[in-house]
Amino acid sequence: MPKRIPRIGIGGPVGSGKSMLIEKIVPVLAKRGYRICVISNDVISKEDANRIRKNLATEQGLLPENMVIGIATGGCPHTAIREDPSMNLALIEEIEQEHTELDLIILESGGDNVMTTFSPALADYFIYIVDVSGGDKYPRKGGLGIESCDLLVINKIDLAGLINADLSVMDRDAKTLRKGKPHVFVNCKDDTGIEQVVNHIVEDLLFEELPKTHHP
Amino acid sequence: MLKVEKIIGNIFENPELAKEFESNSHNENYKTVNILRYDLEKTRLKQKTSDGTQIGIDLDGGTKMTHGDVFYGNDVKILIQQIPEQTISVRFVGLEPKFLVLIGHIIGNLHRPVSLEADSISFPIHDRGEIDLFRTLFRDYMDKIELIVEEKIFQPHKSMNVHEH
Repeated sequence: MPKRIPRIGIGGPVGSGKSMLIEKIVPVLAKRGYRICVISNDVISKEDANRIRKNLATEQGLLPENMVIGIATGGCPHTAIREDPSMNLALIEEIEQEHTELDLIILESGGDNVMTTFSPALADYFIYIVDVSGGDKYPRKGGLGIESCDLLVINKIDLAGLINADLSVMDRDAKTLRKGKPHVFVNCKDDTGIEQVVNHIVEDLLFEELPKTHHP
Repeated sequence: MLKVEKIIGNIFENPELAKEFESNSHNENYKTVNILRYDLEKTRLKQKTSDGTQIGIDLDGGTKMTHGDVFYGNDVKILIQQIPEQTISVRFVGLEPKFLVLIGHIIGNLHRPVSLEADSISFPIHDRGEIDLFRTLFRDYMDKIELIVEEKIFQPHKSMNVHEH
C-alpha cells in the first residue's frame, strides 16, 4: 500500500470551535503553499461543511469547492471516526487516488463528548478542542480526548474573565494530565494562538516538509 | 529529523537481530524509541529516541508497528519498545463456562481490548481506581476469580479491531 496523505482529525464537544478552527488554520497553511482537503462529519446536516466551503472556497478561493466535503453520519458522531470509520476511509481512498497533489486532509468530527478519539486507521494526528466557557475544570476532568490527543486546543480564551475561569489553572492541569504533550490557548475570533497550532501541524505531522508544489 | 520509512524485522522473531542489538548497546547507530500502544497503530508519527534524536516515522498505509520491531534509516537501527500500561488481569482457574462468557461480555460491554492466556484474561484500564468498578461488575463471582492490577506491555488479541473508551 502506498504512503497516505497526512491526515488530521479534529474532535471536541458541540460549539467548542472545531469548524472555526479549520476556517482559521486553512488560510495560514494555504499561505505557506499546502494544498488541503476538508471532510466535515455531522450527524444529520451538512451545515458545517457548507459553511466552511462558503468561507474558504467560494469567498476566499483558498481551495476548490469540491475539496470541502460533508458527510452526514446519521448516528453517534464517534461511530464514524472510531468504531466504524469505513465511510470516511472509502471517501479518503477516492480522494487519495484522484488528488495526489494534496499535502493534507483535515477531518472534522461531529460534536461529541470528552471520550472522543479518532481511529489511528483514519487520522495520523489528533487535535482535541475544548472551550473556556465549560469552566477551568475542563482539562483536569480528563477523558480520552483530552489525555490522548496529540494537541489540545483551548479555545475562546477571551471569555475566561466573564465566567471566572482561570487560564493558569487550565494551563497547569493540562500540563499535569497530558504529561508534557502540547496544548495551545486560542481565540479563533482574533487569531490568537492560530500560528502556534499551524506550527505544531507543520512540525509534528508534516515533519516540516515543503508543500508538494515546491518540489521540482 | 531522522526519517524512517521501513521496518526490517522484529527482535522477538529474529534472534540475529536481537543479538545485534544486544552487542551494540553502546553503539550510537543503535537506538530505542518508546511508543504508546495507541500510537503503534499509526503510520505517521513524530517521536524522540532514548538518546534524544528526533525521528519522523512514515510507513506505508496499512502497516502496524509492534513491540520489538526495528526501523532502519540512514545507517541507524531503531528498536521499538512499547510503553507499559496499567491493566487488570482476571484469573479464572476452574471457573464454569457460563461465568467465563459473562466476564467476556462485561469486558466487551465496556469496549476494552483483551489479551487471553490459559487461565486469565487481561485488559487495559485508565486509572487504578477502575478496579472498584470491575469488582462491582464481577460481584456475583468475585469469590471464584482473582483481579490483579499490573503495569505491563499490553498486546491485544489480534482477531478484533476494538476501539476503547
